[in-house]
Amino acid sequence: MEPFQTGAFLTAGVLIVAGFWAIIMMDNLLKKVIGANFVGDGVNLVLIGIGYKPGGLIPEVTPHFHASAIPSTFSHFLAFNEFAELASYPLPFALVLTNIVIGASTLSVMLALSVVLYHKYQTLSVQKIFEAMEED
Amino acid sequence: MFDYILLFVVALSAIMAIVQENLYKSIVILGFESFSLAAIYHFLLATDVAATQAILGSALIPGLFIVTLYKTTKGRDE
Amino acid sequence: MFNSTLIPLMVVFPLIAAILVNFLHKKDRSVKTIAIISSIVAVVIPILTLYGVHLFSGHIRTESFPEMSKLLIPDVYMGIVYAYGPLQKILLVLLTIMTVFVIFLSLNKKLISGVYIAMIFISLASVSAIILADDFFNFFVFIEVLTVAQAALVIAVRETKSHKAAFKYMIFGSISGGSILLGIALLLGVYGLLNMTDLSNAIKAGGALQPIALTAISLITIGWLYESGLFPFHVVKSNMYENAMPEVAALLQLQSKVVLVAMSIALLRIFSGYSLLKSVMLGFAIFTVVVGSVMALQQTDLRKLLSFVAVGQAGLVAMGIGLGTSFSISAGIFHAINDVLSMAILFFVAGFIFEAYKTTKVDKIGDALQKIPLVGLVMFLATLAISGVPPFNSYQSELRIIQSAVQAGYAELGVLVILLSVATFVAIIKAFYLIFMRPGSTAEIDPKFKGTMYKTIIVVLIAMCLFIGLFPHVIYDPIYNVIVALGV
Repeated sequence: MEPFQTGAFLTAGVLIVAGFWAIIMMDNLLKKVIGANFVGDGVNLVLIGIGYKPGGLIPEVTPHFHASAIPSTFSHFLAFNEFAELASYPLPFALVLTNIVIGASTLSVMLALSVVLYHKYQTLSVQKIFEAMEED
Repeated sequence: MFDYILLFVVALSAIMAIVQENLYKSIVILGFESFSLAAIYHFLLATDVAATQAILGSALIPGLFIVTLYKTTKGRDE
Repeated sequence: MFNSTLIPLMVVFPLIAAILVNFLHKKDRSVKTIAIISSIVAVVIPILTLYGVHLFSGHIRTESFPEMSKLLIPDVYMGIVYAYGPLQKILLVLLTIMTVFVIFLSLNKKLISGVYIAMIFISLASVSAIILADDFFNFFVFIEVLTVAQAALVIAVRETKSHKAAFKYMIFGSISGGSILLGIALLLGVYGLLNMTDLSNAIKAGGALQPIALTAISLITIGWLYESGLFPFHVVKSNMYENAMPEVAALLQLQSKVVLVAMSIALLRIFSGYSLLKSVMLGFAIFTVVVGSVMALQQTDLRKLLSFVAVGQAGLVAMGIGLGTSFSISAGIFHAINDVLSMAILFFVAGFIFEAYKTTKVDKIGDALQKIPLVGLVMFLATLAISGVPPFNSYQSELRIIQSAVQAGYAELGVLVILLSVATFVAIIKAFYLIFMRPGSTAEIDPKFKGTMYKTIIVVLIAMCLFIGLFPHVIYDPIYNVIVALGV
């Protein structure tokens, strides 16, 4: 495993642990939502780190290969096998794109809910909201 | 070297955003973290994901947070 | 004409219906028409479709598997696969029929808008995709969509309690979604595959599990516990049930039990050689059964009581699956189907009482048997059905669960199942006595409320319960054959 990949996994671990800590320990509703965002970010970073290959080609932006390329005629194109050896693994990128969008939509629903809860209780503190729940 | 510094910045700003008392500062740090994460995605050869993360993570999500904060505390500190 | 190309339509059609209904926001008549027509079409599609496998792109599955850990573009099938067999057919027909009932009941409410119906359709589409998908990432995406849709259905009640329940549900949902995706990412890193069948073959070929794969199992199991509302997350789930409209609560418990079945089969298929997983499932299931039945005995609100009973019954289903023999797994799935039907009757009765009396607190209502005798009779029969009294359906499945527990060498679990039935019976019959027979009611019945739709649907459902109880082999035998063929 490459050192930069290892560093990315360690950073992802810090993000996930910090996010969990915020979700469980923090009293503020918005801090909990920030924590949920960090958990999502950390998982995305793990997925991207899996596909990394040092010095590899970027599969989406570089028109490096042609399905029937012969290296002598198209010297700047690569054959498919060669391209597959050099490029980074693109499947996790597609997964992460989906996950980013899902995470953003979930986050907006949670933020809207916290606005509604604030209007009812005039506070963002989870503890106060739960005490109020015991009364009714 | 710059990429390793970015990793450190992301980890540090995640912790700072959570420990921070002032919610405005914490949201600004959140946006900063998302943008650094987009740069890391670029170094990890995922440019399309980096573009999406840069738009969503450092513009849309902090914007939503700021709107929420304005609607809840009306600009005053809690 | 009706061949397996119709398979993706089971997911796509409800999504199209949801988009249509969502755009027709204020036009109530057209929303009603489209909702009724498309929900009936959604029932017809799974009945007409033939069994088969749908591939979403042109690749062909090959038998060769790439070497572990370092692979780039594998030879195996990379697109999304939907598999449709007898078990999927039973679950989908049950799901769509119940969704039709819920939509019929929801259409006359005041709070209904196009968005509400759209959320019901989106949750239908996501559960269908969860049942059909043979691909782990597709599975995850629809689980996340399902979480948002269910939270939106609860938010629509517009009470502060339901907002709080939905907020808790989404916060814990972000934890469980993160852990499922992390588990999938680790599996992708180790084996390079997302397709469940390929993954299971690769794990079998790879011999002993690597430590990373063990971490992946535990992470996905955390997600499984949350999605099916088992022990550590039972409070979140029952909070959702009790704060939704009662008929939506029937839909929610149906969806979480179906997701429980689909996800446990996926887990058992992928990690079939790993026996500790079954023990962990069984342990959490026993905790859920105990906690659910104890909490149900303490409640004074009919909706709260029913939500804890629903959680306890989900634990019973998970217990059947966790015992791990083919007999017990098929008994557990059979119990999921039976239990969904009888729980739905009880939730619909709660919905009727909530509409008629504007409350479901059992100490305020009384003497209702003279005013609504039919509902009382059906509720009594449903109570008998859910606690496993012979002519009804749950008797067949609980008997099979007890038999399989004894066969597997855990005779004490049979005693636990009987205790759960007794606790369920006591809890619900207490509420039944207080609501329907105790003299002196402080809440007044709404004289204008007729509830013909409610009465029709609960009578149809109790007839279905009786039918399954008299002819259990119609449902049970296909399930048993599928489970034996899977070889989990």
